[in-house]
Amino acid sequence: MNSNGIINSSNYKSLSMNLPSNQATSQQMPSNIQQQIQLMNGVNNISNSQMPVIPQPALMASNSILTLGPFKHRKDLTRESVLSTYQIIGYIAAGTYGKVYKARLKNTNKESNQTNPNDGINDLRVNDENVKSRTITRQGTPIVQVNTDSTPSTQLFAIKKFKSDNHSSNKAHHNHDMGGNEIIHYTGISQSAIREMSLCRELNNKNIIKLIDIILENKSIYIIFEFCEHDLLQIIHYHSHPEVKRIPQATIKSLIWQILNGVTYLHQNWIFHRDLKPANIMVSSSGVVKIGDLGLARKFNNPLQSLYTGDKVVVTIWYRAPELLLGARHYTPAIDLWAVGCILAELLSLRPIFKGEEAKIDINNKKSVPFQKNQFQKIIEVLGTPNLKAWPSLNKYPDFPSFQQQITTNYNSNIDQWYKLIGGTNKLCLTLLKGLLEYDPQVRLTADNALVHDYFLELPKVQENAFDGLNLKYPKRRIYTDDNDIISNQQQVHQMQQSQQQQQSQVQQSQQQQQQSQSQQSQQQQQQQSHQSQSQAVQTLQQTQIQPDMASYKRQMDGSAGNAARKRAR
Amino acid sequence: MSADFWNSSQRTRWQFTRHSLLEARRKVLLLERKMIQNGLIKDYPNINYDYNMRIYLHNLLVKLGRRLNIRQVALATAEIYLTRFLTRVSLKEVNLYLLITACLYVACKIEECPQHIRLILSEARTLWPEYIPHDITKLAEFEFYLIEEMDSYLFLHHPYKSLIQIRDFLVENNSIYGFTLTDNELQNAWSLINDSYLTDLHLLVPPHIIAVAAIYITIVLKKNLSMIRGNNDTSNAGSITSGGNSNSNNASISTHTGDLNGNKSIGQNNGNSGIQGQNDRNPQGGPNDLSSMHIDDLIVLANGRDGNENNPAGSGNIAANNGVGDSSNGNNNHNDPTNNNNNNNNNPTNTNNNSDQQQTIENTNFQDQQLDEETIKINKFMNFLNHSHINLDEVVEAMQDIINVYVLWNRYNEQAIKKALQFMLLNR
Repeated sequence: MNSNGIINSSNYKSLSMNLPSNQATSQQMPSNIQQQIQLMNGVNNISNSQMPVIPQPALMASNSILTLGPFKHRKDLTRESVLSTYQIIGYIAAGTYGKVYKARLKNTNKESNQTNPNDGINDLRVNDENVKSRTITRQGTPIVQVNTDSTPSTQLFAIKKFKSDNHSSNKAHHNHDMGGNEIIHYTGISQSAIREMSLCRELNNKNIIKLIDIILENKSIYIIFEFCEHDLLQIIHYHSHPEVKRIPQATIKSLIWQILNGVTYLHQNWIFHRDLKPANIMVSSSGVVKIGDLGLARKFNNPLQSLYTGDKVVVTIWYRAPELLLGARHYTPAIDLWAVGCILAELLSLRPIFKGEEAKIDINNKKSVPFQKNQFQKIIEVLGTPNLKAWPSLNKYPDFPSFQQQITTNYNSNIDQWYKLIGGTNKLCLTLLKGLLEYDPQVRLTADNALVHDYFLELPKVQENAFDGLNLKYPKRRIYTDDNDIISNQQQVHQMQQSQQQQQSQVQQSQQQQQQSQSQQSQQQQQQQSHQSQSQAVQTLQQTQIQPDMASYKRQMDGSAGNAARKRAR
Repeated sequence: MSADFWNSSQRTRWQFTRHSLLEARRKVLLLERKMIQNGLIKDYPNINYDYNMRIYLHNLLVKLGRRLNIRQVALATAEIYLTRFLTRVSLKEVNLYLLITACLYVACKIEECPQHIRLILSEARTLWPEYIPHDITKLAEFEFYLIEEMDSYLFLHHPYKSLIQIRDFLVENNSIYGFTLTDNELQNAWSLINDSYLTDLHLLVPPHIIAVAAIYITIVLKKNLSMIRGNNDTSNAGSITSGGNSNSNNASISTHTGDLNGNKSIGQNNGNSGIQGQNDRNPQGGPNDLSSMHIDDLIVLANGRDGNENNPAGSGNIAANNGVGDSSNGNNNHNDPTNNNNNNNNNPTNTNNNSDQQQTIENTNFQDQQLDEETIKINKFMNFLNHSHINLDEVVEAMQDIINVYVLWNRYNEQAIKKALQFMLLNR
């Protein structure tokens, strides 16, 4: 039976139609049900007697219809803003997703906030526990507890601010307010942001980046993470200076083991990451790996539609598994292990092992995904051309014909030579690498098998602090302060609030009961002003020089396939 | 942790006790009163979060979901968001039609079957043109506040998965427990779970409890069903011509929203679960389908309990038939075409059923001791429950809540809510 047909046709009646009112009688119902029914009948009676005049509905809802105005107003009054809780030090990375800021907790202001009894505002809090629980999550995390004893301000956070997902169609008529500032409109939250929010809320593992809080404020999403001083890209970059030695074996082993540990945790929870690469592997200053950026991660048990339908392109090109390059529709967590293999190779050799060039998606035909010939070429030059003997399902993949047509040279595996060339000597490390870079995803090592690979069982032992015994100090993250859009946004909020307040005050004057809450608002406003000027002052104090080379390197990394994949993910 | 309910935010952050849930709702009412006093919102005495309202909202959600052909799991997620949201926010400060749309919009993203914001808004606007504004930023804004209100805890565990797990477990361990669930029983339990989203259960008990309760109701009902119907077959013989079965007045639950496999679930089912308030006037008696369950069977079950405890045996019975009587004005339309035919018996038949059912109950009591196939199955299931260390108190609670839904559904008055909401939204 076609349900749409039913709904479309005569069954949907206009509201103005009078249907018979409730005929329910409650004479002989059992007592407990009777009560309930009396309640409901009460409603009905009222509705029939007290509302004789039903307004005739307008044909179409106007934009002024109630949406969530009163609720929104109440929430906006009580929300703790990002800037009232955190002090922004500067930003550490920028990408297509938005920006990541370094911040610390603003504890002094917090206390003064709490001691300020704002009756009117407290009145509007539904569940005080909610507010409290947020405070607790902010302060009660283990890391905070470690550091808070003496100097709470040393606790650092990384705040990821998502760019609002403006569609290109909107860009034609950007709105600007009187001051020439762009007015940001609400658009749907991107799939990537919602994945990262919802997944990080559930995950709890020492090798996965820890989420502290999520703040939705002023049309922007802020995810607050623990701050990590390093990432693998930065570490690799540091070691590729000619005068610096390679990364010691012991460090590589600990790093890779911790990565595998985090990946195991993800896979046990039926989540794959789908964007593992050095830039997304954070390392804390105490040498603990934290896998970050779960913007492409998703649950893979029981998918409602094929994974391919959701995201046509996943994983940055250099780390993309061969089955993905062959257009696999139903791929497995093995794609993450391939990426780990690539990362291991990169830690060993200090450069990407398969540094292919991405074939761009045709702008005129966005639906078809091109065959990544160059990337595949780079892979077979090292690993040899795959054949049906080594990879029996090879010819089952959708892009196998393109593979057959475009990959014509037949290479033998050169991985042993490659390993020798980069100066590798450890045999077990090579077998681990080979196990991770296995063509057939069914044969490739799984995360939990890789964890107990012989390589990790021989000496030197895997360390919890990957930097143990390392007699060098990695540079701290660069902080950029040239463009901080949390501040500018806040100004916008500020302006908006002012105009809102003007409107409100007009309404409120007419109602005359609101004087108290009005004064509170202006209090709040003053507070906000003070926060703002403070953080700006800190900013100017902490202006640091920008090192362009690192920035451009990052952009180059970031600008490869990850972007394309991310754009698709939305 | 997302693979494991016990470490999930659903349990650690969003599980209530009956008491704390009551407390939360009381706070919302307090807040509402305060806002009314401060002139922030107007008072609408007819807007209350009662079962009438909940059924109405449930139906709105199902209707929109069906239009968009959205999978059952996403619908279920949306409905939990709705219930969560309304533990913190008053009905009177938001546009409920837009709220429903926003819940579904977010749920589709979380369940990885995203719908374009423009599509979902235009479908909602087609359904409720006078309440859904054209502006997509309104929906996007609502999404923001909805997520914030849930503290961004969005992942959910549903009883559907537990149901399948129990089914598979019973198949694997057939040698130990000696029974499995038939496809029909599975489908019926699935349908009961669909309807359980009308209750607070999903905020109160773990999903597997709800799955077990649904299975239990299915099995027990099947036993009662076969007895009720078996008796009717003999006592009815030759008495009434068309549709003279005790279940002929009933809407079938089994066809209600959402198919077991979840494929095309909503699209396949009939379009009007309790929304339109209209039935086909077709006096023809339909086939007596023993394999499907019916609302009034559940009511008999519910009343059977209450009736036997509190009242003379007959009264529960009559109540059930009262329910049947007004079922023709719009409550039980989760039906497929065949059952639809059964919905409107004229009064003579009703009276007849009345006596039939009375007889039935007596017979049921009489036959309770008999060890038929179903009783053995129930015993085996109880044995399984004992082995499983499942919290039986919670299961009983869940069963009561689920059965209660159908009793209340029979009292559902759509027009009252519709008018009240119309008054609230258009008369500001």
